[in-house]
Amino acid sequence: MTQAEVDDTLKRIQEHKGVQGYLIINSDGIPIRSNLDASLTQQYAALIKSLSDKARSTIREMDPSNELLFFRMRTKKHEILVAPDDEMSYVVKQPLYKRFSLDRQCPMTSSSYHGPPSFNYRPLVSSSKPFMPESPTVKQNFYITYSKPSTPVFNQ
Amino acid sequence: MSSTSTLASTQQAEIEETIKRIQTHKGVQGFILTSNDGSFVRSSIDNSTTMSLTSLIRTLSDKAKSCVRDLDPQNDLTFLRIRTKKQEILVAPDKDYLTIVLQAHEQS
Repeated sequence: MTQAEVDDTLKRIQEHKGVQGYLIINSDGIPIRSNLDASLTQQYAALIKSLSDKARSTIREMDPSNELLFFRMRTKKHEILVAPDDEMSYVVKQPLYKRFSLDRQCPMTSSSYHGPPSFNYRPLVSSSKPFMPESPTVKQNFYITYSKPSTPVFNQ
Repeated sequence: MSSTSTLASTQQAEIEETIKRIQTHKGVQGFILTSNDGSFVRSSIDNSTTMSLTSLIRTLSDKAKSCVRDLDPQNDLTFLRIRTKKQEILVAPDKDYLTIVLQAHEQS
């Protein structure tokens, strides 16, 4: 990937609304671009690189002809998207966007978080689609925004 | 005694309902629901593949979880989604269960 391509991709990521942080790591695990502070960058680079390598090898173990393209980790506070490539990895950190209006119609705060998705969980608003934490029809452009309701929803 | 068995059966019913809902979703190729200690396993894939897949993905999911925790001790992994050339693997680690769903992804 040439420098220009890297810059283009980075620009596209930066322009996207909602991106809290991004990081580009080269194949040796050294961060080459980032908008996070230095220590956080180093931490992310080290951890995500090793995780990405592990994910890659896991996929290869499962099926030697298969290949890891992308993965995303949803956490309580935000979402981390990792695009490993042969030469480098792109890591993007963004807030959680929800597709379905379950209880999380308002942005996640630690007080409104009710626990990880579990089978005992009753959706507050039933959606016509079956409950999946993320819809399979979401394509690579992952950022599905939702409009904030006038009253936040807390308990169900 | 009857109340606990009722609770268990309610849980069972919910589990069955969730499994059915996931399996009938468009694009789902395979589905594994396993408890964390391995006592309870439901799967739509043959047993040997289920076992190997579960152990591999559990290791990966544990690594991802520890990665998230290292970055921020108050944070926790809620969901992991791995996109590969052939399919997409959705992993939902939970307090008691681990759910793995394999689905075909639409090419963008």
